[in-house]
Amino acid sequence: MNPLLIYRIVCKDLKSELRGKETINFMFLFSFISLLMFNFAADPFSPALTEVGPGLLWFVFIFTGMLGLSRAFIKEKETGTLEGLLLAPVSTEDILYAKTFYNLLLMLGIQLIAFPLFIVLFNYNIAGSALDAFIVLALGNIAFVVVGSFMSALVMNAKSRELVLQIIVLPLLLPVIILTIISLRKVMIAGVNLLSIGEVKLIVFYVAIMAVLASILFEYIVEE
Amino acid sequence: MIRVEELSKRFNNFTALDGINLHIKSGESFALLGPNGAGKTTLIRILSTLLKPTSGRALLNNIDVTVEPEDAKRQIGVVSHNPYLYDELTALENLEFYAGLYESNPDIPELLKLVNLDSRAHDPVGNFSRGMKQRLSIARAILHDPKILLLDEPTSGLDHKSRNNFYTLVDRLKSRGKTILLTTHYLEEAAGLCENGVILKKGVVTSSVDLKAPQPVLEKIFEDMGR
Repeated sequence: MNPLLIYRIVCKDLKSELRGKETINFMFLFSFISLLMFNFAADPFSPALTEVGPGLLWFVFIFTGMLGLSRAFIKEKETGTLEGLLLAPVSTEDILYAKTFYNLLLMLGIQLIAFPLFIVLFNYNIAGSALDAFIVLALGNIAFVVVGSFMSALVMNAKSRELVLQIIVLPLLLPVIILTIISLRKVMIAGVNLLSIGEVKLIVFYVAIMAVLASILFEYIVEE
Repeated sequence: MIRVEELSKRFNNFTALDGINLHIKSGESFALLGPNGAGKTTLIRILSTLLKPTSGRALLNNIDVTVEPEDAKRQIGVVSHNPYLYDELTALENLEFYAGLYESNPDIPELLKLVNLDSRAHDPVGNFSRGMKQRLSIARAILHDPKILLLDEPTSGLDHKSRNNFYTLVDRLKSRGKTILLTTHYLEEAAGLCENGVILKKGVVTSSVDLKAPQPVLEKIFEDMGR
């Protein structure tokens, strides 16, 4: 692993994205509109909202992330620049790590805006620590981008690749989706401390396994 | 130096290359000729480490492309019909990015001057014409000072003027002692840039070509090649 090369690829991706704003605008708009829709659909003072809040929040992040994930490899594939990267003396693992890290930065950027927005719009009273809830969401996002970035590379040669990506990513993410919602409920509703939530450890374990698998298998995916 | 020994590549039941042998000396300009589907691009992709051969081996300056792909990549610069450039970034930023990947420190303003794009250094590549992108692609390919240039139909889709500009650039690189392997459909391109070549048909080398032979002889060879 060469951190400097990973950093250079991430910087290039961020620079390209901030110039073109192809993905980030859509991601922000989608999360904002989704939260706004749910806000109008539900009574912000209803006790039921406290119950469904964690699930709703994670639902918005998962589908917002889907918009960004599909672009990481597919755009490079469509413009032919992925070959440019593969022609340079960069290991395939470093390319995968760079794309995963870039996706994570996008997701965390959206989370930084959408999480406080959720609290304000829904007048949500978090029973535990808001920082703990943010960390659980971030962990869920890490699992999401590790699996999603790898799958984005896997489907980049497929027809209707963006549709295929959603079909195969969601079942794979089901364990982490459930674990994140349970952890969020424990922090946001029951006020449990982050360190004493067993599900959080399971998310970390899931991320570790998926990251190892992705870095082993990625070389075979990019080779024709 | 490029050495290819008994190189074969099969995709399921389709044999793209079948026991290819080639030896291209350092500083030589060599053309791979042949009709569409002959296996020219497959050979270039194996040499550029994008594909792994089914059997046989390919050496670039005695480095096996399968055994030491990252070292092999430092030996080559690849120019194909795809410029491998990022439209949102400027010409300068594209070259800086690729230089960073090679961990080399080239004189980028000088490279841009070489390809006549110094006045457009700060323009996004998305605004460039195809010819300009192809010239910038040459700068990208040589920024780590590779000894070997692999040119895979580099002028396809270029107009006459852009093609001539491209030939001038390649001539300059030849004079710097680069080994050049070119695939092309154009007779004047092969004859103008290369001394020797081979004809590939259905993944097999069918004959060698002396590209300094008289024009009518070459025209006959090209005519037969298309059949």
